[in-house]
Amino acid sequence: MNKLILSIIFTIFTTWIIIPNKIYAHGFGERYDLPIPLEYFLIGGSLTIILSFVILVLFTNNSININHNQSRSILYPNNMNNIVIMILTNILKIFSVFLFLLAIISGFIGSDNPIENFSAPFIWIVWWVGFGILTPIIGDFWKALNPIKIIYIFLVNNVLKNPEMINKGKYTYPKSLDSWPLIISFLLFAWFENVGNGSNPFNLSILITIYSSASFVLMYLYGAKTWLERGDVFSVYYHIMGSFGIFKLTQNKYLRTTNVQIRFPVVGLTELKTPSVLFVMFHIILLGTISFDGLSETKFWSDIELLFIPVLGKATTETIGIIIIPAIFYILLWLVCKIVAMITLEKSTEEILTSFVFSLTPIAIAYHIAHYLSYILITGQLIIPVISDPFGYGWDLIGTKNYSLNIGVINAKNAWYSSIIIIVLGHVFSVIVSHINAIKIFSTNKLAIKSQIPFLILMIFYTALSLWIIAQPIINH
Amino acid sequence: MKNILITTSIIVLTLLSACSNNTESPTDQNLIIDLEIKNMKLIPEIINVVEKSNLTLNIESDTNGSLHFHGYNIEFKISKDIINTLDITVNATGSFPIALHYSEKSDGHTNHNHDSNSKQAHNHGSHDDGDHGESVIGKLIVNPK
Repeated sequence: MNKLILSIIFTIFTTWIIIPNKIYAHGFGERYDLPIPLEYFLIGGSLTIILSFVILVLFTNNSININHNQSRSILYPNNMNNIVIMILTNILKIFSVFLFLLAIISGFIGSDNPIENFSAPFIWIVWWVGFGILTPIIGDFWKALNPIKIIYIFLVNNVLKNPEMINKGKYTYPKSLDSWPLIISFLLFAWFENVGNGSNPFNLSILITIYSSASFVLMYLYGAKTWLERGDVFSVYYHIMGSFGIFKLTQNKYLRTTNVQIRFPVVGLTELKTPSVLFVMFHIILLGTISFDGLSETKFWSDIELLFIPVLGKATTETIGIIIIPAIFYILLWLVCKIVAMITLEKSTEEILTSFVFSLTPIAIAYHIAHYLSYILITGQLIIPVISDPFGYGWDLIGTKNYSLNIGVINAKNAWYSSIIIIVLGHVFSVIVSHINAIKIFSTNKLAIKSQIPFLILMIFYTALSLWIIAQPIINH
Repeated sequence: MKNILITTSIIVLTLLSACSNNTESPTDQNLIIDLEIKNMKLIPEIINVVEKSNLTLNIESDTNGSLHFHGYNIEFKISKDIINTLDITVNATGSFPIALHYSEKSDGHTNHNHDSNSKQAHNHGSHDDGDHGESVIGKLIVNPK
């Protein structure tokens, strides 16, 4: 039954995607970033290497112990019942659902020009890029604002009057499903963003409707809590990204926020666990597609396309790219874990894989922020005119319809400095998280340090790749 | 290990100080640039300037149409076989595609005032929206000072 449902959903997605369409690459919006100059690249690279060794030397003598009790609650369960907090929370939830429905409706009935329609700027820029930047800084607030979850919980509590459906589904989530829903969903989404007709508002609304409907069905089948924690790709994605953030939201079994804590950025990532190699694959697909996102805008990728497009066609070439980059990442990570297993002789390759996978996350987060900083500040302004005219009908609801983008909002030099600092900081955090994970699983500090050398090389390579990508001129497709 | 750290730190400090000696910024803020559009190509293809420069572009073209400076959102009508002059002040840094609109329509595309930020939102985005043909023929690169 479960496999049948998933097969149907998968077939609908792939059939629709395979239908020939005018291909638009890469989400939405034009970019005007200047590549970082060589001297900045060299400084970034040098700092990466130096700081890596400095931290390694420090760890040789002193290990870091993260005390999870250092997180401090700022909103307790009692506070959450406070009338003001409840009103504010409900206003935010209603606003989230309103924006969600507006995005769907504008896609169906509005202009098919993505710049004149609320849907494309909101989904691709505000939600996918904007939330993707804010979540690692603030924390997983998607947990509280997910409109699909809000609607489902409302229906279950107030229409069906059966709150147990939040916690318990019709079926138990089968072990055999593991992380397959995450892998398949994310690959399809990455394809849609990078290769498919992602900027077309109508197609976007269809996709959101299909995804939402599937989510309602799957939450009913497996319980909302279980599905959102194990199978819903965006909930899991924002949970991972939000683990880096300074605020931690805790929810009870009815998915009601009961506690909000403040913590040091690294703490959340060190708490993440996965026993599943498939989840490692999902996470690497996530990191790989973040890098492919930038790589696909470089001349290097353009030259590859020139070689393969005449033979394979554009869509197939880019589809292969989306799969091959994460595959390379996974192979490299697996090789490093194998080497660590061989030199430490204490843990298996799989144990090391599942323990260290989140060590690379800070580099991915840092690259994502550096790569999209100018984009969100410049192209993100597109949301301002469409708020006044969400359907492209010529309205001017709040007087911003004729707003024109301020392309000077961030100077290139400031963008370069910010990018280098953010990427180097991301690398530093990765080294720290990796060390903490090593201390947790190896029996001695010496073994933990020994395990870090191969990981350090991998992290330097990954950081260097991130720096190299932002040093390339952007090819707007 | 200590020696390695000290040596590496000296290398990095040297690198940093070398990079802080910026290449000289052009002192000339007013630039006159001659451009040619021939067979749908812009010559030179890349216009490389420093921010806050006042550019006077003298454009000679073998076709009628209009030049669209993305980002700055300036659309400038050009006529063939005459020198078309456009003045722009480039206040924003970045790499901005220059597209040639080769529609022969006489509507809608008038010479904008030569400001670096046009007041009108432009519909093109990053794709050919089907209203008129657009071919990216060059780039305006505005470097920071």
